[in-house]
Amino acid sequence: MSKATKNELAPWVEKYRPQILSDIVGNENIVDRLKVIAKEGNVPNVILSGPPGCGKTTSVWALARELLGDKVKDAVLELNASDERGIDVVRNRIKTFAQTKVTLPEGRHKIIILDEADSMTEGAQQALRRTMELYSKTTRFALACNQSEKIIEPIQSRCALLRYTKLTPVELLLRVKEVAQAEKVNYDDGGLEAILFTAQGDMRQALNNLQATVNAYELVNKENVLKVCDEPHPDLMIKMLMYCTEKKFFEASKIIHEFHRLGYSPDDIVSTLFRVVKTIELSKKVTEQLRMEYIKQIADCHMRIVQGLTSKLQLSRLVADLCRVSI
Amino acid sequence: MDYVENDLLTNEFAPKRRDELQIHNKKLKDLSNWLKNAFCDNNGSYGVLYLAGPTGSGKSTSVEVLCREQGIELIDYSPELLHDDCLEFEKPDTSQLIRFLIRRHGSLNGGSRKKLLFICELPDQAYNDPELFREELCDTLKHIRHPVIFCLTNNVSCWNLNPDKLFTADYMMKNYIDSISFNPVADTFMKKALSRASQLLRTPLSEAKLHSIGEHANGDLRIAMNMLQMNSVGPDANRKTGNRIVFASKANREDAMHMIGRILYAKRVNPNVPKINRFTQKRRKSAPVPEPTERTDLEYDPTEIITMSSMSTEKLNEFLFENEHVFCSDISKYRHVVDTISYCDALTSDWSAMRSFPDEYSAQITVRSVMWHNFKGSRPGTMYPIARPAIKNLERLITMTKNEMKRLPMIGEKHFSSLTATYKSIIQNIIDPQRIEFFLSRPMDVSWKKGKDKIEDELEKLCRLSYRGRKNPRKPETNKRFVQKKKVDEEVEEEKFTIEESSDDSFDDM
Repeated sequence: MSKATKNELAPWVEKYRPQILSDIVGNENIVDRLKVIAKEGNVPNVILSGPPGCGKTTSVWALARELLGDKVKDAVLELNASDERGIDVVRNRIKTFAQTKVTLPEGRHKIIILDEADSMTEGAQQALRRTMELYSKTTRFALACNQSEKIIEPIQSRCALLRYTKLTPVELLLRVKEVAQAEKVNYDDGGLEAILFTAQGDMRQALNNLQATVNAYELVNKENVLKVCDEPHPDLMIKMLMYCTEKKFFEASKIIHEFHRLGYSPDDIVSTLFRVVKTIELSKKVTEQLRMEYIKQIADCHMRIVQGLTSKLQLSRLVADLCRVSI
Repeated sequence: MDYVENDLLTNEFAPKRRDELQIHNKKLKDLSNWLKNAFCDNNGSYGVLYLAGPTGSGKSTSVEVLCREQGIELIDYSPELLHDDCLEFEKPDTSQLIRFLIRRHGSLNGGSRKKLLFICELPDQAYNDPELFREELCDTLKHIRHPVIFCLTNNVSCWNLNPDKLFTADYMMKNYIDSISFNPVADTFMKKALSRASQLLRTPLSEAKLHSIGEHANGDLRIAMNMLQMNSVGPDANRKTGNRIVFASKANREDAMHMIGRILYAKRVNPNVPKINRFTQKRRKSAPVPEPTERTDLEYDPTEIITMSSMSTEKLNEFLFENEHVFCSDISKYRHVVDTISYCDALTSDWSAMRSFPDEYSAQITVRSVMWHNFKGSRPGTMYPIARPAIKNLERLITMTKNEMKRLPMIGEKHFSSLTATYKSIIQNIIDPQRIEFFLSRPMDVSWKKGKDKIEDELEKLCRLSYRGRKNPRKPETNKRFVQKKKVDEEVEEEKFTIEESSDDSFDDM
């Protein structure tokens, strides 16, 4: 297979994954620092923590590439959550890699990337502790995780913690637009807005949604994005909330029952509703305080759903509660 | 300075001499005395020490430095052993450790007669089956030929990996295991250590940066050194002025403070502010812009504010709770806010549902409620310092006392569970039941926030502590009352908050 066709089939997330640090959007503070380190070498052990799709793994790989140049293949070991990562792997595979000799320039180190390190068992992390110390002259560790609290203290103590934050809509939009232009996608503003709405700060999801929409419908507009992402339509939600504000219970419950009939799980309906209430400009009648009360009611309902009450009745009750709320 | 930029700063700048160690002198003396004693009495049995402490408190470094000073050779336990010419990988069971312990070790660099076994890692089986490990260790320790130090981290939140589980007070007493426990590094020591390390760098970091690193490291020297390395690499580490540190958590902390400030001040768009352009004159300070009389739009959207920092919702709510009373104008509004905060607390309390319940809900609810009710609230003067959640302090005190108490022979693990009062944080000397009684019956205006020593001082002033048993006569009542009254006056300011909080139930105006 030629390289061009192979790229055609590749997910855009992979195809447009930034290869160098300066291409990474968001978290400038951290990325700037990594750039300096990439030039100077001698990176400490690091933990990168943050929500999914904010560029943790990408920055580690970019850093490794800039530090090690063409030696990347030999001098980097990446272990994913899908790889076997029990105690024995830590003991044997990681240690063996740490012990192997790779000729690197002064001030450069082999790098072991442990993706999703928070899914490693505590025992395995404990075994890692000593390896980190013993081979610090030749090997550095980069641990990427969603929650740094799940890393045991002795490991945290041996690393510098880099906390990534969710990407802002502006940062997302910048990159999504770039990709859309590079792929010559037919898009409109509503479509991109819908993509940002569905992605909620997750770059990976944004690009996947974009690609999925393009594959299915060619044109990226609001309707198509929502169809592909299979989310309850936010416009209908807004309409439903409007009915609630006007205390028209029956009209409002019709809409939510329609969602239910279409097969959306109550969990999905409620989470989308939450997203709508907190981000989208509603009618003038919805004051700040009313909005707060709405969120309170939705939270209550979501809690019940999480506890297992996923019936249609709960949705009706939510609508009734929303209609009843007054200040 | 000419050091090869090749190793971690934690290794590169590790102290080599005793005067470079930034550890409390008493602990060092304890350790050094133990080392001396371990080689002094030659009556056949060798000393065993359980050296515990949180991560980065300088346990192993102290041992290394002191041993070098006293000419003791440290023999490190590493699980892979070269055994009869073949490399043996680490096994999960304790056999390798036991073999290591009972072997007679030859010296690697000749000369030194004093050899010390140094164990800073235990096999998994030890943690999985503590009983068996204890039994085996107990037998093994009778046959050792060198003194042993077990140097283990004991602030691991995962109880399964906590060495305190293995080395219980009872067990250590029975087997003559000595124990020394290190505390997190104190601020002053941290500062000294950081400035020493910074001097060794090619370009020392600015004071402000060092200060914020020290503050953030939370008594963990190793983390402090890692942060230093993260921020010092590169020729222009100081180019960015101020104390803005690229270490992420610090930037986060700043963001967090701004975030809380924005929520509490809850600024609204002010239509009265004249649009500033080049031709408008500078506003005089004496004529402040009138505040809007009705709630206009918020200057910042709550959702945006929440995403400013990755602070957890729980923590955010704690901060808001701790500071809200300063910003709220009247008690009924305050009641509403506290009501919301407690509602959110209840919402997130169910841990089984928590895993799939997004905790953004409670952040949204509290933030919106606080911002709504803080309209036209009282505004503290310039630069209001945000108070930290007091509950964290209390929790820390409780765990400290808990650990202290567990070690006491009269309490131990067994009877500990019956002592679940919050007073754990202030009970100092449990052996004297009289003292506990005094603490528990102290007047309410002696706040626990003051810390153990302060409380004791005050109680002594109140002539309560001097009364021990029936031998000592009670001091005159009048004197006591007088002192107590004086105390109340002093306390009024600090306790105001608590009073408000407890009394707001009666203001039910919903």
